[in-house]
Amino acid sequence: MHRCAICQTNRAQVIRPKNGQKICKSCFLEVFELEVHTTIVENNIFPRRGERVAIGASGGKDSTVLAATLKALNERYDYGVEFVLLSIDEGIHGYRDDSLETVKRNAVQYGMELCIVGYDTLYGWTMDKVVEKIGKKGNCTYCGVFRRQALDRGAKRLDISHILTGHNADDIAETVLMNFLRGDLPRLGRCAEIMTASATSPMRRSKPLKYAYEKEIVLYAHYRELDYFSTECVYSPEAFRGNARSLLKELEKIRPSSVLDIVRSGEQLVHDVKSPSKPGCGERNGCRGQDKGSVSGSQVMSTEPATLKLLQGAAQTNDGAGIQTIGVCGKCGYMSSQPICKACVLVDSLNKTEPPVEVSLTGNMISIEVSGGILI
Amino acid sequence: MEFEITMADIANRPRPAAQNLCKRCKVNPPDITMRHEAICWTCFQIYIRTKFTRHMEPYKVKKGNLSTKKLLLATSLGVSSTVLLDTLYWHRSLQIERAKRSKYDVCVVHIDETAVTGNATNTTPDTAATTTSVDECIEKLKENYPQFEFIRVPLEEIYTISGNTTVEEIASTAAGLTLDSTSTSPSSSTPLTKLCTLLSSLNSRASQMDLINILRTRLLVEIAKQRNCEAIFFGDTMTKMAAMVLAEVTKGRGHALPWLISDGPTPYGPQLIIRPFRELSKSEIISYTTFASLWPFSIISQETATTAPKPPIKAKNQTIDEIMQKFFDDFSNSHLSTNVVKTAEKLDFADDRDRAQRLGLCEICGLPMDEDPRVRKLKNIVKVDEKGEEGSGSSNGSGSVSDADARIYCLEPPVGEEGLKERRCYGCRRSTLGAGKIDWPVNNR
Repeated sequence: MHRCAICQTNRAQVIRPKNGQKICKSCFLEVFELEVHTTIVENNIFPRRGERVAIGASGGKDSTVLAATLKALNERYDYGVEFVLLSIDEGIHGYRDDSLETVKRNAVQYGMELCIVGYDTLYGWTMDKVVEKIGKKGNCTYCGVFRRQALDRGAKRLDISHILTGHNADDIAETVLMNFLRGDLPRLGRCAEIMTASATSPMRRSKPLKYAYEKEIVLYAHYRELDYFSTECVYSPEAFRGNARSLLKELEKIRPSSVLDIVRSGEQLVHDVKSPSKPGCGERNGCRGQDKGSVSGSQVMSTEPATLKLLQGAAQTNDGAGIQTIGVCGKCGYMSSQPICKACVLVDSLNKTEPPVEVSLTGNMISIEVSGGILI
Repeated sequence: MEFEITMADIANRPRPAAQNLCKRCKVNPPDITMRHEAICWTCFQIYIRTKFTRHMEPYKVKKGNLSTKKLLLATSLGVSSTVLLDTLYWHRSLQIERAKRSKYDVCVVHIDETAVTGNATNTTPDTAATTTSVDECIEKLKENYPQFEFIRVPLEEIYTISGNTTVEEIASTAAGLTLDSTSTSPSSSTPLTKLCTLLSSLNSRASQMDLINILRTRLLVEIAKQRNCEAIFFGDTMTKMAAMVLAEVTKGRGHALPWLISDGPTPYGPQLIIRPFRELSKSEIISYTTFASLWPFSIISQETATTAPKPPIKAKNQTIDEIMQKFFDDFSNSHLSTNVVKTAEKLDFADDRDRAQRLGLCEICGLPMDEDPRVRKLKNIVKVDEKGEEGSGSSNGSGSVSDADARIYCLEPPVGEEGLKERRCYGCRRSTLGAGKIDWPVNNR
């Protein structure tokens, strides 16, 4: 019998994916929570007592574990903050409606307030309708842009300026690899940051599970018997992310710390992209003059909808200038670095090409109401 | 009825000639489709050579300047190395033909790792075959490129060669003396056993290959120093470099990326690193090898280079570099290599020099040390929160951070090596995790 490497008394039940350490169940739970606590303290995630903080809750394993750990840690270490669950209803039948039920149960279990914001009320489009229109390919772009703004708007409604998300170490490592593969320098610089407050969003966003392995999150949820929803989104998972994901899985097999190591590398890149125009060790980079980034970028994304290229172009101009100027979207009045915010650009593209037949086909009350409202 | 032939008619007219001719010279029939362009072999060769020549600006023959430079060409005897050798030979021959002299002499160096990788690579069936073919291959190269000097240096030489250079440097620095006395402390073991001891103390083949890569580069720099070579040429293609970038990111060396992939001087010395094929893809190099009939001069057979790699016998025993290389060799991913390399090239390390001065160089890889991202963050927090009273997170900052290094990154320093964090970068600490005290052959300058 293997004894736990930490307490040396109980039987080891868990092999930690991070370092292969064999430990017992109670030590695992303790170590996991302690790591999240360390992350919170060292990054000063809760700088003020009495603050109300939103947890972006999807009902999935990550956000459920996040809510459960934070509730426990808040009681144990007295952060003095109040948590509110903030959920986004993308309008995906057979996926989100079920997972929202989980969130509703979680709200009761953890005694937290719950706020649900729907795409249909914000944009007049549910994801079901978006997919019906543009197909499964590239729909994640719409969902991602919509969600980002929806979270902000939901938090604003709650008078909250800090959102916690359940991104785990695997997510961040994948994103680092992905941003390299698609040549997205500006995003590469910020994707590994634990806390972000961008110019286009008044919200602070933090990822307290940034160093937690996906496998450990599943294990934690299992041992704590958490109530979570484990179905994948019914629409195609991002193909490009899938590519990075399978690469990461292969790397993890030969060196389990790879996930953390990539996160660490990503953190180092944060610092450097921020000041691209400063005179530094420029003379070493002989090839910096030949800037073909935009060309190669579009090469990869050529299968994606045209709007995405538009967005990419916008991101690149931001990079060149170094400073984002914050303005207000001319359409919806929301904060934006462009004359019209990304969400409005996407909604417009959906409405513009909307053939009139579609409306009569869907034919129910809501869709007529909505399309009418936007057309006028 | 004046315009019986409209523009549309002209556009629709069949164009018999253009279809079947090379898009560039419009003379020969096309032989290869390169970057969506069907071109002939001659134009393809011009293309490859133009990309190469762009990096040869400092090595042009100039009037009135009769000096000759020495260049070191690192060869793995693989496809890219061989094409580079051939192209360099062409370039130099052209100089002699046109100017009756050449600006440079070339020393071709092959680092022989068979003594240490022979048993580690589990592809046993052909290890014996490769060792013989290395000799054969070098002999063939010597015959075919008589104006180049060829040497073969075993990797374990790093234990003796760097000792020699420090002997020379003892006079100049007192610090060098103290460092040197520890590294050359009387030990009866041979360089090879020292190297084997070092490698066997590492916990995986991935870590072994990582350190072998570092040692190879450092040995090449030492050889270049010894032979007064101004620059070291590598045959790395865009595809290979993309794999390198992501492999180093995976090893946790994001902080050193510019040093690892850009051409120019290294922290190891003034010798320049030049990768003239950095804009060419591996498939282009393979096509070129076939076209120029260079296959006999490489230890990689045409078959192995052009067929899809077999799944590894032991998936767990692969190295990070191998996985990345496989990823980019895969046809469906090869187009991504441009993005990866161009993005990595654009990373600018504004605090690089400052970091190197403040934190020094890593004792293993010899590149500027990284800074704990949380230390940096804590510094900022202290500044921001000066007025706030809850400085609890920042006051015990340094203590909790070192603690977190073990807790969050699972990088506990070995017993008795607590200060390792200040001397070894994250990536090297990861690769040497659990190795205990190691006898590292090279010192930083």
